[in-house]
Amino acid sequence: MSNKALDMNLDTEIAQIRAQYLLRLRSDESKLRRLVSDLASRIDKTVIEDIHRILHSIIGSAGTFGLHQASEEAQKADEIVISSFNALEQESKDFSNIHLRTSVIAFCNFLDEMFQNSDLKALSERHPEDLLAPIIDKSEETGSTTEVWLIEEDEELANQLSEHISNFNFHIRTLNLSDALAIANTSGWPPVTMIDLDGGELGRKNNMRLTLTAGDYRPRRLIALSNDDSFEKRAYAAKLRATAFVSKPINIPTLIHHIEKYLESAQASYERVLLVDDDHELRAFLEIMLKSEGIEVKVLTQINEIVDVMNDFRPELILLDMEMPDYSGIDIAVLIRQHPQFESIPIVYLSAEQDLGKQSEALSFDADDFLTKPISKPRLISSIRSRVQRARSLDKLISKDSLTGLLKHGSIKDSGARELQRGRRESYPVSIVMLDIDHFKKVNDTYGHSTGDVVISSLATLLRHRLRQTDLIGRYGGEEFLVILPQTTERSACEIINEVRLAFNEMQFRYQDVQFSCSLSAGCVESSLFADSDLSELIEAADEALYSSKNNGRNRVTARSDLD
Amino acid sequence: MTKLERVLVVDDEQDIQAIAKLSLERVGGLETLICSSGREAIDKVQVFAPNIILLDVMMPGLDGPATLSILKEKGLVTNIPVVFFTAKVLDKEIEELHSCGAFDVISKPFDPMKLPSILEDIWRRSQ
Repeated sequence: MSNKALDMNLDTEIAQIRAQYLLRLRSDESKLRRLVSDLASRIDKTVIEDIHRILHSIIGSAGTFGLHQASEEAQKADEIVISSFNALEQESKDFSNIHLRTSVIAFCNFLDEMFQNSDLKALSERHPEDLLAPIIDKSEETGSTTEVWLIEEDEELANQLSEHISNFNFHIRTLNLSDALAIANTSGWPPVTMIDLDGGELGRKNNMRLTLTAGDYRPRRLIALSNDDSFEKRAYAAKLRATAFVSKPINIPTLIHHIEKYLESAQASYERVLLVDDDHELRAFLEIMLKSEGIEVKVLTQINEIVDVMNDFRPELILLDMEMPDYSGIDIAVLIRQHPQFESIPIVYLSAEQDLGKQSEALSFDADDFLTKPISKPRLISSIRSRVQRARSLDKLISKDSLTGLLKHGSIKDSGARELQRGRRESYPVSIVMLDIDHFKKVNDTYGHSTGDVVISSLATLLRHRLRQTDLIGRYGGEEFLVILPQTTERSACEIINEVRLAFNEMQFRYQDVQFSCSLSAGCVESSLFADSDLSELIEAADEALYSSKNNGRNRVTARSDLD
Repeated sequence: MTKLERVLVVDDEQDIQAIAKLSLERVGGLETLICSSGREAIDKVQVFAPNIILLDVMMPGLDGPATLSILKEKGLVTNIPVVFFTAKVLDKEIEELHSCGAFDVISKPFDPMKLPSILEDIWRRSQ
């Protein structure tokens, strides 16, 4: 494969799956040890079969993940297990329980030793809960870096931009135009490319400009940079199909805003659809049809689990069969609507019913659409997409702050309370953080409210990029933010927020010819420190820590537990 | 001769599923559907219409040979080569797997970088 960037991604992905596999291998080892100790007290054929199954699976999988010796050792042990099993079946005298057990224990010891070796050790000792975690694309889960290209020959400017932008977890790859074209030709353009229009090859070589604008090879999203904000320059950028134009000196928050907007549209998340249908074949058919369109599908097989599944999967739309044996589609729709949290989720019926009267009766129970079988794919997909889109924008309007795109005061409190409850139920720590921009009033008074807005939205962007997708971020008040970090102790919350503090402090803002920077103060508290408190009381505790940060000179993060 | 485009993989191990999917889709550019059980494969094979099926031998519930015999009985794989996918076994067992009606047997461990080309070869031979 000539494509270096793709190779790198592939390697990382393989490494992630491998890490997951090592965790499982670790748990397989404990299982084997347990089974062997069972055999010590009683000979049981099913136990021997279980051992064989585990070993057999390791033989096949370990080598695939590069652990060839583990495969071979498992093979050796398995051969002895198989011959012991056969001897036992034939009630032969050759059966030796001790021989069988020693060979399996020898294999376990081999694994143990292998795990002691440096990088495997770290991987296999991660949190045991990870063992149960399904394999997911971690790059979506944590804020991993996204590559953005910068076509720039001015080295100083390139370094400066890279440094600022890396704060947002974007990775900038600086290239000259000919290299960029060559790489793009073999492996395609990244989601976003920035190009400096001043000087460089672009001005000198006409053929490159032509290549850049040639239909099929055009960059996906192009941001033009220039120190000449004239009509002619902008028109020139427009001819290159640059959909954003940022004039120099470059205002970093503005640039980030463009990059973020384009990346978001490139990675618009999949629609989540819950499918409720008792027809086996139709269900399989629909599932594949939706998945092939990039729609995430969950199939509900046990109707009585619908509420749990919905709470867990959080579908954005429900496809509901009208005619099921025990309950009708209407029964289920009404049941769903009894739960206030599902009041606005779109429901689409699937039915063989051609009678319009019956269809409208069904729709009168708060459902949104009625699709008749046989179902046409375009109709189904467009019905799903348009409804989910509408629900999403409605939800955004209701729950998101328009300036920052973060959750509003009320929504963050609702979701925060839910998260807190879940943490208590599943006994993991949840940390609550209050953040406040220092001397923000002065920014507004000196540089005006629109500059103040840039500062606020920059911090919001920074938080979004630095925190995990499972963390909740809300704009609590004017320049105050509330962050909820599930599965995070107070200590790690302080570390994470401290990194945000440092990055925020490094950001340069611009008002006319003046450059300035801002700082933030924060206070963190962990749920377990106040066992019976509700979210409001925890917010108060975080606030106390925040005020201690303010009183100790600002630009710092304080843990609530350090106050007592 | 049509081109090899779609592969159905049946394996109950999550790690193998993930690596096989990555290998077939990203290295081989093949459309890949993963099924976690023989039952699931039987449900989905007709709709997905794979060109080739990669079937794990040892699975809980319906194992590979049992899945294959149901697939054959229902006439779902008349034109689809089914390849068993299994940890290194004795020659005798490979023969047995062939006698169940498998087109070929691929042994695990496999190299994720080479799996697509191995399948391409098998596919070409089956045509």
